[in-house]
Amino acid sequence: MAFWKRLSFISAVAALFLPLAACGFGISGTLPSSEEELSIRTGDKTAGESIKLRIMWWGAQSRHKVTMKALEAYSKKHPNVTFEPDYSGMDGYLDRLSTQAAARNAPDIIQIDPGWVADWASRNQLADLTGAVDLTNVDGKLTKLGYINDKMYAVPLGSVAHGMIYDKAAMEKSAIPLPVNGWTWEDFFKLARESVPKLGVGQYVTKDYAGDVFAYSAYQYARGKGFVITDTGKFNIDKQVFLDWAYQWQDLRESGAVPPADVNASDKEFDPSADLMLKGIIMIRLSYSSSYGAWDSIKPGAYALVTMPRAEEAGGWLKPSMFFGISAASKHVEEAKSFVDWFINSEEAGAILGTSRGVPVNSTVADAVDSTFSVADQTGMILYNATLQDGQQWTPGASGWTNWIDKDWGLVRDELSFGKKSPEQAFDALRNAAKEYEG
Amino acid sequence: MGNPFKKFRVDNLFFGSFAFLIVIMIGAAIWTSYSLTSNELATTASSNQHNLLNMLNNEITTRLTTIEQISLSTSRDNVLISLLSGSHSEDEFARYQQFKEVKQSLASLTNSIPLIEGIDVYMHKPQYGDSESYIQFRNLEEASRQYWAESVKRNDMAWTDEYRRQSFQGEVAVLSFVRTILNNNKLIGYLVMHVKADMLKEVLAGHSTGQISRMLLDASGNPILHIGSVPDGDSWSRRAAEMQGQSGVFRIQDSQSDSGSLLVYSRSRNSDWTMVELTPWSQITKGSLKLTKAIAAIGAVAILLTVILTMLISRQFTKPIKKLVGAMNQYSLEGENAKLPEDYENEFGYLFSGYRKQNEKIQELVQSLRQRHELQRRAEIDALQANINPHFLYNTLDQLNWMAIANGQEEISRILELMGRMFRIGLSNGNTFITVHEEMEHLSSYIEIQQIRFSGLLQFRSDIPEGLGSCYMPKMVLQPFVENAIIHGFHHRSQGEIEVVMRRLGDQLLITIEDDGVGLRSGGEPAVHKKSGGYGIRNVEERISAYFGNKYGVALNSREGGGTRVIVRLPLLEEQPERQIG
Repeated sequence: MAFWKRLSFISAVAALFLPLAACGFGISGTLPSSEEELSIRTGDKTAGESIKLRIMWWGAQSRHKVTMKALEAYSKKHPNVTFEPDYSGMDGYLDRLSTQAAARNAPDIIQIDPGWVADWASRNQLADLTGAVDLTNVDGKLTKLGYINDKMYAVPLGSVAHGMIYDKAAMEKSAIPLPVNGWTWEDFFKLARESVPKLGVGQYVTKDYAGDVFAYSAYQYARGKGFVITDTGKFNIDKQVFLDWAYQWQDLRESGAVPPADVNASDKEFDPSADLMLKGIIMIRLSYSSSYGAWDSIKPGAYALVTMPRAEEAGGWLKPSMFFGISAASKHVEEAKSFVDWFINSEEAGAILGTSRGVPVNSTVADAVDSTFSVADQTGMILYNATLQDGQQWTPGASGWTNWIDKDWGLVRDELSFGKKSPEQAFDALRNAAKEYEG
Repeated sequence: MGNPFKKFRVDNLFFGSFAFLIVIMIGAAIWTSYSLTSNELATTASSNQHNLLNMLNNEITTRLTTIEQISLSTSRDNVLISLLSGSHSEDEFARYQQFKEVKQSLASLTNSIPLIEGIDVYMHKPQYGDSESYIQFRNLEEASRQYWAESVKRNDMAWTDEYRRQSFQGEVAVLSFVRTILNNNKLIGYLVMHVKADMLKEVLAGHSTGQISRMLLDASGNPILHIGSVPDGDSWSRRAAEMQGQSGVFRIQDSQSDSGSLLVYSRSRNSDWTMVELTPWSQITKGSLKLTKAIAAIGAVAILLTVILTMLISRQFTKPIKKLVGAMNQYSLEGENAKLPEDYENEFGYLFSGYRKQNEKIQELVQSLRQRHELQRRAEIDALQANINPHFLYNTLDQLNWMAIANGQEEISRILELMGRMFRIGLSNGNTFITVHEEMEHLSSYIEIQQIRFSGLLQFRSDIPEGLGSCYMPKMVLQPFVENAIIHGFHHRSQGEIEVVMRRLGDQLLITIEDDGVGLRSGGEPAVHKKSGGYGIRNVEERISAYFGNKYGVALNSREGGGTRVIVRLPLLEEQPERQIG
């Protein structure tokens, strides 16, 4: 009895102090868990370390969407890798990328045009990818472009055909005959001239492509005069062909087949509020086989693709659409390589991306995901296959001409469109500008 | 309540007082260390934060000022002014080229300064815009619907607070710097630079890790950027008013935590930005809390040790007490008693030896009590025997009297009658004390018998003053002396005189018995040392001594002119005393 009484007394006193004691023992609980510190201290790039890869590309909204999806899928497979995407339209892309690269702040993975590879590699801004990416199932013609001095600096992502897109519904409504694959430049200019009376107010046939380097390149190819720059880095615009071309456009401009200069200048590809075709202002414009989906997603079923007009030779060509390069300044080159490898070689990525960057370069992947292609993808494939038959052999031209293509042609384009220069003056301007670039 | 030290068990008292003491000490230590260290920590933290905030404020201010300066130089750009004022409106190509040039230079700014998320230009007729670009040309009419519209109303330039802006890459958190562009005092456009809020937040966070709450206030005290959790705008405006001078610190009560937060602010000397850091009080006092917990843990251990220690000590203290109590409980007069340990030299030793001495005393007392008890028992038996004999004798005497009367023996009959009277008085219902009158009747009877024997030659006189007859005295005190005088004093003689005188002397009764017999032998010894007479007198002396103590008694001496004088000294008893013994 007394024992129990005493026990209860002591336990009552103990109960007073138990919370204190509990606090005291709680100290060990408040010690910071050292796991995080440990993982930081180990430092080496193990699978556990969380990595953020910056990736930058250009394209239309449809390409952004599937690319983001692909990044998500990759992060799901590799939880330690996340992405900081930076995407925009083509306009201003190169400027932005160049500025960042100059600040040694370029994203880890960058999408580059095949024409830039040589320039970038020569400036040591791309990491050496030789042997890092499995290219067994990729057409050697495509991979060749990524090699500079026997080192690979860029990995091709897809292959596209250059052609045209037209607003089928609008043309049918205006009783304009639809173009067919294999049509000629003669057919094109005839169609444009003859359509003018059928146009409504503020409606035009096509954009003013007089000063457009890609449109003119196709024309010069078709006339059998090759690319505007030779592989050895020489100015290669055939004056007669250029003048033929420019004067035909001048006719179209004067007859009202193409929009006035300010309207023409306001055009922004794929932008629903600024794309002249999407706005119903024009009916025909240049397109890559891979771009069909971008327009089709905005106005489903309205548009159709047609091959680039031909002349003596085919006007269209197949080209690698774009490449992935890895910034030489990247701190996560290995992770970036793994991602690029997955991007082109996995069926998972292939299924997500479709033909957003052209026909997948990995033939096995292309065959495997063929059945999963959307109608839009398949439409692009028809143009691709049509061009494949006798398409021109595309060349990126010599390195170092990027600005001539981008800036000098851009100015000439505007000057022609605004009527500031005659075709002869335009040719002279290009000729003179090219002197700076010729070795 | 009473004195607890008299109420509770010793071990509980021990434990209770020790525990109480420790609790008080630990409590004081906890309170002191907590209040001292938490204040010290708060001071340290706030001064560290001051330095850090100053530094961060500089960093952020530098960035924001850079943006303001870029915006200023951009807004002064001739091409931009010319484009916005529409000075080339007649030449669309020139306008388009201007447009491209402006776009190019703004794009370069955006591309080369990562802090800039994008730039909007609000202008008339922005037809060459590109929705998928960092550089946006927008219609001036849309300006009034923008988030920043309100802030630029009164100023020609203004920063917005953080908000989410819809860009072509989705929603982005930005701060915008808006500058109105005037030409000839006419509004021609706005230049809006969007700054990435996340990058500024990184600056705001600095290298600090963990939960930080900082914010940046503009000149009017509105928070424009914050990280962590801060009070919302309404409750904030009150605080802002309290912040005076370059920097300061105060403690605020807020809804974030019960104990409030420490607010430290720093205002840049050459700008209007104020940096504020809020630290939950609980975070500042985390160290103190740890210390407190450690002390509390020590306290808990101390309490535990106290429990053990007090239990041991109190056991040591209560052990002898228990032994003592056990010994007391088991105490018995007969047989072996529990032995108490003898090695205690302290208070317990005194207690034990005291107890032992007391036990010895008890043993002695019990011994003497036993002796008395034995004496008393024997006396009772004697008394019973003495009671039986006279009755038997009295009855026998009565029968003898009747026999003597029947036989005509007058003298014998008289003697037997007197004897019977003597017996009656001697029995006197077993009373020890009888009246003086009865005693005298007893004595008279005896003397009458002797007178019959001595044929009238024995003379007896008595002198009893009036009033003494009703006093009480032990019975049969006088008869032995008279008998002694007749048997021994008048030995070999056939006549004699005996006188009994009683006198009151204060509270004493003096009885003098005188005879004219042979008197005492030399040495004061009565001449009566034969068995019968000696027994009678000794009996009287013992009885008086037993009844009244040594103060009273019997004195024998020789009488002048021969004979013996016996003085019996008794207390004067006017009432029958209680029976004292059996």
